[in-house]
Amino acid sequence: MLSSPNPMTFGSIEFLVLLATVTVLYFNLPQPLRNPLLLVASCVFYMWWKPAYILLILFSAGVDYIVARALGGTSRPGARRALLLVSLVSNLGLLFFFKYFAFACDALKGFLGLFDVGLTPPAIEVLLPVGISFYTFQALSYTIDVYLGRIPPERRFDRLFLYVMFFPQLVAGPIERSQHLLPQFSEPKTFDYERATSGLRMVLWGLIKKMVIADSLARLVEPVYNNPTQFSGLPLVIATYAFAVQIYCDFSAYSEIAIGTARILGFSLMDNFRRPYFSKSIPEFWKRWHISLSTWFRDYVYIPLGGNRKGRPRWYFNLLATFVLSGIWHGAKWTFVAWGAYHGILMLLSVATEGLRSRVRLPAWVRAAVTFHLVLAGWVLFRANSLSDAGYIFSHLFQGASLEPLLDAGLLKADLVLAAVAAVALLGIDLAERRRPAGERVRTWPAAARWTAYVAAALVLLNLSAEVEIPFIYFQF
Amino acid sequence: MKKLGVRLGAVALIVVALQFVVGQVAFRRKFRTREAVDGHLARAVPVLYLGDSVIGSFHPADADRRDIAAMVQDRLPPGSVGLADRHGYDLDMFREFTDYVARQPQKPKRIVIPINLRSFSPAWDRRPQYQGEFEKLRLRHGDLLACAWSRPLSSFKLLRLNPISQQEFLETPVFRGTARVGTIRDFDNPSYAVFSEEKLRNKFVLDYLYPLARDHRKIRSMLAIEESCRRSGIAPLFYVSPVDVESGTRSVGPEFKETIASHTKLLRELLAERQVPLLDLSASLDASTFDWRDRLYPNEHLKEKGRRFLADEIAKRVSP
Repeated sequence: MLSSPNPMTFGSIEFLVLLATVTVLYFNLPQPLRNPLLLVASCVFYMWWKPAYILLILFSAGVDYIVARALGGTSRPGARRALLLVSLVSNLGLLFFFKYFAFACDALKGFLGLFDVGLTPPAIEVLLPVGISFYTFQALSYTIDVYLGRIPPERRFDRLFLYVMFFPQLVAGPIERSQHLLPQFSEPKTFDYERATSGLRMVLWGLIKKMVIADSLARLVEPVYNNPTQFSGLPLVIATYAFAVQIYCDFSAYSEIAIGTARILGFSLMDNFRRPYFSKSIPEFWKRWHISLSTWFRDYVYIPLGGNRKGRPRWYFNLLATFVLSGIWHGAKWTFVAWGAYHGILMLLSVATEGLRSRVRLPAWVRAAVTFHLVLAGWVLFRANSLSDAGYIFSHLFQGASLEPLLDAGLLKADLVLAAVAAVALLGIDLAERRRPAGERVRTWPAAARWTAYVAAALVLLNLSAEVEIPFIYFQF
Repeated sequence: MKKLGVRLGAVALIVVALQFVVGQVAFRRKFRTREAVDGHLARAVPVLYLGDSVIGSFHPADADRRDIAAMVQDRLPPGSVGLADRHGYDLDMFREFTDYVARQPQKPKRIVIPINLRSFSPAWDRRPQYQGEFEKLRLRHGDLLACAWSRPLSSFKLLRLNPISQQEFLETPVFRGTARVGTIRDFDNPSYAVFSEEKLRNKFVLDYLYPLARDHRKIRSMLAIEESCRRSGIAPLFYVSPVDVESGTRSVGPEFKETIASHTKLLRELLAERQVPLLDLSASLDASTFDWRDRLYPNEHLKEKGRRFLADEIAKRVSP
């Protein structure tokens, strides 16, 4: 198969053709051929970019299949622990090699340099396989669940392989749980008009969020964050707010398109975002942002470490360790480590001040605003290319109010206005979704209003999408 | 599923129909250069003069502030010259206009094509604002299609309206001869509000000391213009716009003069292979005829004396 210079993205014609073809074939094929069809579609989707990298998923799923089958055949605790270790080492080893090896070598070199020990780490240049952090975690959750007796081992390898690489959520989640997704591949499915239109609405809204809002904001964020020392004051502030909206739109759009796509085909994927910027505390934020990852860390790291059951010091350590690991999961950079540690510390402070906060009851909007700005400060660490860039941004946020540098960087005033309008519109829609998802509201409208909304949304997508391709941010993880 | 297919098809049809309307309302802007060309062709003007900002610029102290085409017209029978120019236009855009003209029933006898040596530099060739992809599509496919569909197709990455992002532009390497001396980010950022010799030198390096190879896209456009003209029976006049070689050599050294000579030699040789002469005016004017000193960075804009000289040279070659 020929490889494309870029992974297949949801906003591409190739993906829309793939989705249409798979949907038509899926519901017209006999049941036994449907999973093979999804498997082929998932392979096409993943192999579009670097075909050879599918071997990594095959390896990951293969090891987990064998380990889980062996777990099903033994009750000896020692053997079971050893088998689980095989799965952990294989999956995390894969992840470590492709994602963290160079970073670890650099860190080791820097550390040894403190003691004047010279070290030349082996230079291994590998392209990060798209979605590796997502599918290794999804595969791991399967083995751990089998180990804990939550689910029986899957007998059919093709079904497990499909669970690991189901194309709607393969490269950027939601990170599914085996108990939820795996059984769905055994259920017979029939085409449901209401479900399909609901899925299409999610796909359309997701595309608008990504291509119109997030990508337009990226045009504002990238020149500033890629070269922050050229800016100070207002441009840094604007770019930081813009990034907060960009990353939310970008990532939640991916999740919505994934969930919508799966829904069209009759599958249900877990929610990944629940209006996170309206959270009134940091713990609440983490219940509403990237839910599939935070619950993964809760279930497979935080609780196994002891959670809050082993006294305060250990509880604090568990919280901090979980968040630092979550930061590292995002990428092999000190900025992500710092971002994870920052959120860990915020969680500690939330826990430690819980009593005080319950006595001083601030209005909900104040708590939401404070929480948002704490999260916003974290985004500086997350988006900055280095810790020194982040330091520069923090120290120059309030120095100067001229927009000229942004205009000099090739932006037009119209870009700024469009970005502001898009951000406000998103805020309004999120606010309106307090009681019911917008898609569900649209479903109850009269046909004429509904069709007008669909046509208008399609025209917005066609005419207001950013013209420069910005990869989904979470593709890099 | 059939019901969904039919409804999706209906929505798609409505969207496609409305997109033609949206395209005309939202994206159809005045295209003055093409309107100028259409006007000249309608009046059967024999000499079509395509140009960039050099043609129309003037110095505040000039008594005669008319553009170069008007000065050429002074030396020819009435109604001989029609000008279609815009700042930032270069051989790529002239190629599109030449193809456009070649497709029209009424054609001029001659097309005058200025070659601005600065347009080969990365600072011009890769500048996002100078790519003109939308105008090229309008020239190729007409307004109805181009205005309605270029933006949607660009959004879905089926064509690129902005082939070079600002980021990519700023990361473009800058060469001095064969030696890489930085990126555009290093050279293009300085403010010209305050003059310094170093800024001037860097600007000369960025704009003129690039290496020029036969496969440069501007050279390919030049040869495509020649071919298009030959096929449609139009005689092209290629000339190299005057460069302030005197100031460049003073600022950068003899390498400047040598590079300009080497670049024009390559252009001359390539056109000579096709039996087309090149009017090389690159080093024909002294520093006093350029008006860039008031604007603090070097370019090819001319004072009245320089424009008159250029008009004389062109008129000599296009007069019937």
